Amino acid sequence: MADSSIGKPALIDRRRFLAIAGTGAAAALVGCDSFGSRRLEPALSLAQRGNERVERLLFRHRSEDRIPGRARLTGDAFPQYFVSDSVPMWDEATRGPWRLEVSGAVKRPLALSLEDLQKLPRVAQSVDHYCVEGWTARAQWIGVRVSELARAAGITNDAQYVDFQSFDDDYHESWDIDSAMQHQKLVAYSMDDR
Amino acid sequence: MTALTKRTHWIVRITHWVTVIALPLMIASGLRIFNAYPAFARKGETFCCYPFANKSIPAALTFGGWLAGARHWHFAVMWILVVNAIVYLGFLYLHGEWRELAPRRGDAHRAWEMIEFYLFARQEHPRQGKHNALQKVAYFAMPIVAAVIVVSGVAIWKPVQLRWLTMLFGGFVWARYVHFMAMIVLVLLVLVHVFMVFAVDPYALRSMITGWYDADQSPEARNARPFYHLLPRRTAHDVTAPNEVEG
Repeated sequence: MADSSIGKPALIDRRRFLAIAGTGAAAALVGCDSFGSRRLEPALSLAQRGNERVERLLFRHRSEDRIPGRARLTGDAFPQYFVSDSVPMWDEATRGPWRLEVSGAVKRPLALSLEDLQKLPRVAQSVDHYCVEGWTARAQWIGVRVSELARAAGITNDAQYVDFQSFDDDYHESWDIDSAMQHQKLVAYSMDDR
Repeated sequence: MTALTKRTHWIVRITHWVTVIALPLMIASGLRIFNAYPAFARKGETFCCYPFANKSIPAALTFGGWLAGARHWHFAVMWILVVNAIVYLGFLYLHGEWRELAPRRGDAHRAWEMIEFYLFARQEHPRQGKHNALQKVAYFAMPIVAAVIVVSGVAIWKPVQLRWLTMLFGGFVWARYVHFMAMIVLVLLVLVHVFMVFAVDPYALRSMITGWYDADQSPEARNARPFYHLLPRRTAHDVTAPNEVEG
């Protein structure tokens, strides 16, 4: 299929070009556009803050996603996402070699090349992926723990959220720090041995 | 003269109308979340039991605008509905009104009599208490279905942390399916309920708003089927004993 030949390199590229910023995500989260009356937004964000508190109270973030050893991986049916209209590619000629930037609420901001990343302790795991959209899929991932990157960058105590930024049309996604530091959270550079 | 009695407690009335507002918001925002992946199959696999896979729910039935907006609403309104349900069920329990809804021996027979009556296989409206046997089934089932929706919702909220709960439903895919199908059941119960209010007992609207109900206009007193004997009945004591009020 024509799709897979375009999709495969692009998938790896998108995952490569992640940047982590420790702060600023809180504002972005609260600023999330909600539908309905503007006057109701304070109520919605109140509920959201309340829900975050409930989650922190209920869960210790030690839970692990375990799947049976014989479980079949999803393979090519694993959804691939692009925000831009065309497949995003990193143009080294104009933007220089790609690096993963880790900045924000850290003592030592990092700029890691793919080789630097691969030198860090590598973790391989097959996990269920539960997407916020409602689908699930399984894949084997190899990469570096987000907590490892945070340790390397010297995360400060006031860090509350992690914002993952893609070069793909400014796509970004953020997470609370407890979820991001859970040991199964990877910045992956390989999927299903590709 | 009428036989007005206080029938619906203010707690029941308030929780009822809170549900009328909050439940559509909850369902519509849930349908918008569903539209982000309007299917149940694990990626790369097939699912047995949903013939409309990958067909979006019409936008007019959804609320929240986009996935994140709908999630904001879904996770905010859920608290209103949960607190509302606790107040309602707590009241039913403490006030003893659960007795009017709990199944009793003979209810199946009485429900059958109601069906016979609605199908014109029986002339007289069966004797009933506050609710007829079919209403009892519906009002008793609603909180149970709602509880299934809440628990399956919790299961798909945290499938990793609450893995045991998700597994109780047969895994994430099935928990999501149960969450969806239980919603469909609840919607059907609500649609029948609303239809019957207008087609059989519009006088119940008054009691759900003010609490007062005219027992002389009950479906049993009017011998009312859907769209039959809808109008107020001229009672015997309208003519003969205008001052006589039954207790």
